[in-house]
Amino acid sequence: MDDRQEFAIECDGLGRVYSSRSLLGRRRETVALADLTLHIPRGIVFGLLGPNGAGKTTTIRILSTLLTPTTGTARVLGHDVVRQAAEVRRRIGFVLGGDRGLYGRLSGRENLRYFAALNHVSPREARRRTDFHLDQVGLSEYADRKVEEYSRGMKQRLHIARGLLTDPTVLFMDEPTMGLDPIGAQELRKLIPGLVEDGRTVLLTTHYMFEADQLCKTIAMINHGRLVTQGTPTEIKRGFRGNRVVEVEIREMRPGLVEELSALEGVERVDTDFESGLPRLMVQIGAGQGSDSRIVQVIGEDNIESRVSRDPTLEEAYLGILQGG
Amino acid sequence: MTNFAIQAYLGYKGLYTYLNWHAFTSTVILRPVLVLAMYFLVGRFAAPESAERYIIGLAAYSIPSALLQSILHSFFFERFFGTFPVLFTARGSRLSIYWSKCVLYLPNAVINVSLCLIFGHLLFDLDMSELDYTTLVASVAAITAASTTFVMFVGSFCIVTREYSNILLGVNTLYLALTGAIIPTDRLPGPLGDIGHVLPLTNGLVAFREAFDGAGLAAVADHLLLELAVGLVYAVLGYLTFRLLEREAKRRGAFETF
Repeated sequence: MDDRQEFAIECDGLGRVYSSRSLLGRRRETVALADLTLHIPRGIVFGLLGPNGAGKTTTIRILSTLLTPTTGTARVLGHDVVRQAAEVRRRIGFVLGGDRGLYGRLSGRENLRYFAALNHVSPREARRRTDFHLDQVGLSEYADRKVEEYSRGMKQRLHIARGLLTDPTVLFMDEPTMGLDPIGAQELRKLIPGLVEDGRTVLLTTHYMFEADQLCKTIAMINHGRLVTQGTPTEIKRGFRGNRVVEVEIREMRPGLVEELSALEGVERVDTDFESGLPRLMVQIGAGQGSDSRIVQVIGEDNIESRVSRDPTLEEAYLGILQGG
Repeated sequence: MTNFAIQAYLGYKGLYTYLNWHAFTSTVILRPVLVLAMYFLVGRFAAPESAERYIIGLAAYSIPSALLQSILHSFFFERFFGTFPVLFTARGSRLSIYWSKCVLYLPNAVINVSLCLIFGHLLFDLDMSELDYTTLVASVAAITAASTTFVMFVGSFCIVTREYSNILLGVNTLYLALTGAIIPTDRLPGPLGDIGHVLPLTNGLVAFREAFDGAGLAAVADHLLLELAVGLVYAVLGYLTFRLLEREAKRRGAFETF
């Protein structure tokens, strides 16, 4: 069944509601995911973006068979995640984000050996794969040190090694670069494209837009458990209502300038950046609206050091889409 | 090593946080002896003629007590470390995961009962002159086996709940009150004595006590077989519960709550 599947992951009307009761017995329901429909082709890195609580982790938990959906269906390589959970588990790996999910009293090597045993990898093959993946994530030198002595970044790399240990066809990565230092994060980002070269599919959740832009062939943005938009990073940036951004580096930021620019016709949002030398203003303009000359007029020509007009970045598109900009 | 042995060893090493001299000495060696001493002194004060009965009962009780402490502790630490998702997304058989979670805790139980008997003899004059060692060893084996399956059964509930200490307290109370460790089962009011007979330890304890009166294996065989039968029921019930609660945890989203 697997090889004939066009899609690695198919979610149709997927929903998840958490129920709980208060101390007074009142029933509370929290919608974590609502009617999510996604079809993810094989062999790509697919990014699932959204703010905290959007439903990204819930989606990954359902797809990795850890959580039952309350509505809809989900299939991984054609296998239903509820009715054929064992078939799904044979094909997936998952990388958790954060400090949890590891045995702190065991060494990095022992964690992998244990996980290999849980997954019925033969002891000889487990030794080979353990050495290979520890080396791949740069942990060989620390392999025999207890995980409770690892830094957060080292734990994250161990999560990744564990995710790859069973050679999964579909790999779920839930914020894999969270907590990594810039060098570690960059090394991981170099690793991810190689994972899909042999046909593997990666479903990645991340809060870093540049990471999604760099790694993902297709992106879906979800919010409040619902799909908001889907497409390639370029499609999302361009298709964000055809918006464009006028980026202006100014000599002096005067009080009230941002408000004045925001009040201009066609201006959808104004962001500021004070961190790189001179102050910068990113003025986002709706499709076919506004003109640069009005912006220049408000800022004052003498006050402008440089000015460029460009497509929105993925982050700007993300903020605009999710904040209804 | 086979995968089962690796799972058992690394699971034990990873989750048994008492695995250092400090903690091991206080929990596996000192704790049961102190419990024995406390109940012996209380028992002697209440009914001096029953003091030896308490020592034997509590020595046997130290078997399930050790298993409860360590196995529930290991379930609790799966939740604490956030490793339930690792276990429940594994491709391997659930049967192997289930049983590998208890095997290396069995020696703790044997250490506990042995220490209780040694200290009971040295400190509290436990009479071992007529002791039938074969019956004693067989009783310890049967109680250990039956208690393990029972503790795994109750431990399975830790998949869906964080309240492991309540399970520990509840089951400890059942053991102390209903199995004959302290109160003879025939003196329990109403159906409580009957409940005791479906708990592990109750039947094995009868054989364990008779070993001190010199009873041979043949004389206590029916009690030992009953103890093993109770253990077998919990072995099946425990595994089915484990699988059922895995499903329930997925339904509730309980694997990662802490």
